[in-house]
Amino acid sequence: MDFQGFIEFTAVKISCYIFLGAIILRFLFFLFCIFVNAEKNFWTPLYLIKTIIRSFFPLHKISIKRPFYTSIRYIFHICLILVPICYTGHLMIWEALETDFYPPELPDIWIDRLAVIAIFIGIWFLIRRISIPQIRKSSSAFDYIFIIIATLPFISGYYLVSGTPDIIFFLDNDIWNIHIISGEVFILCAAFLLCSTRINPDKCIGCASCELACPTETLETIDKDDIRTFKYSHYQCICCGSCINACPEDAVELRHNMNLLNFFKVNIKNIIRTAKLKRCIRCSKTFTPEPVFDKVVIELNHDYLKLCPECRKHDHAENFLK
Amino acid sequence: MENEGKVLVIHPEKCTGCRLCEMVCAVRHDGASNPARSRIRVMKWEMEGMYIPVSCQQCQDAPCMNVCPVGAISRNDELDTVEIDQDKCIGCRTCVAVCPFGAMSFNTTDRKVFKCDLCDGDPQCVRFCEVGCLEYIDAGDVSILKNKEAAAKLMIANQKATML
Repeated sequence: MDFQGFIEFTAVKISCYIFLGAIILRFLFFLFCIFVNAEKNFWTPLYLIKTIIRSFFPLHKISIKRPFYTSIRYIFHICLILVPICYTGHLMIWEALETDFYPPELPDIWIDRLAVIAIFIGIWFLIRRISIPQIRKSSSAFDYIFIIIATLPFISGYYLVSGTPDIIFFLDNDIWNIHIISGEVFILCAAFLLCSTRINPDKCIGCASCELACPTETLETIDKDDIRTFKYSHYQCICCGSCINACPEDAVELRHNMNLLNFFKVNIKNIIRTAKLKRCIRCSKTFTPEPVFDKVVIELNHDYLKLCPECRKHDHAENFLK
Repeated sequence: MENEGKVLVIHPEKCTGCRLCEMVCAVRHDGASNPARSRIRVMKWEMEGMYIPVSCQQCQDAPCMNVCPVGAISRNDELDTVEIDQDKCIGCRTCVAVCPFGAMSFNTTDRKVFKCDLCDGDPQCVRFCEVGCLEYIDAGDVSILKNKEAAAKLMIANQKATML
């Protein structure tokens, strides 16, 4: 079989099947995580429905706080799903898959509009990532590559349909191949892409505000001896961004990443950060993370800071006695 | 005379250690008679028979206010208190780590910090303190009380000196 035939039929078929399998697997993992997590709750079906609704609709405090960004994000993702599935020209993919299932079709003019919207939002994401220094600093090469992978099939597809921009005429014969290959890569990436929280250990002070803000108990902290560990499982996470909003040090990032090892870690809470806790010099109980202590010492330097709140009350009362 | 704001005054020598103030405080704020939720705590030295209630001092230049990363703690000039905006609080507990009196506590069920708010100008601990250990009086009167105390000490010293 020649190269053209391979990318047009075999590769399309393989990537579509991998995509479908991965999506089904992810949904099963997601359900499994919710069921395991719901043991603590009284009424499981309600919790299940709530979690599913929460993970697909922007109903969180943070989404309402940033309406523009949230709506742009949702519109972009709706375009990414609708355009390839509902486009009439993609009928051949469904025929190649040899299934009886045909998706609902949207009129071509609407597909055109959605594709243009997706292209513009993709470019906006790229410009935003480059131009805002705060975001640029925390971006890795992957973030740019993912945006480009997501928009490339749309740009090439739009060119194939309308063929207006003459500037790229030299790609005329290759644009078809670019469209197919980028589409396949896009589908494969989308299947294994995980959106997960990351804590920057240089900035994090270990205060656990993110854990308190988390609506799904995905982030967990455990204080054992004098170590506080932060645990996180990405299948439980609904990517709402509450932790980012809560963090006083801007140390939390919610980021797309691709890690096949993590993909199969179902309901295993990964340790994403550890922080040391300070012990009281009088009763030797742990009372605050060391980075918080260091931050507070800069603010005002006193001996009482080394005591736990309970011992401070005693200390203060003793001063009264004297 | 202009109003200088009222303050919670503690007379430790009068305290009997009944801990009624703790109960009343917890019931008023959290609806549960759990002394661990109380804003005011009685420190006890049973052997010496000393009982000293400790509560928020409503500091002028409050360390908790200065250290809060989201600006949830502010001064209420009307009541002359330091108050917490619970909607802004993210529960980072930096204020708990910085308070010199250990008056800031953390509630794990509500996931918020709490401290004495003087019950919006009507402290229930004062109302229920039968022995008069806790008092809620004008800030100006406190200095008068202190003056009186100092004067009384001076007078006793003078009397002793004349006796000798």
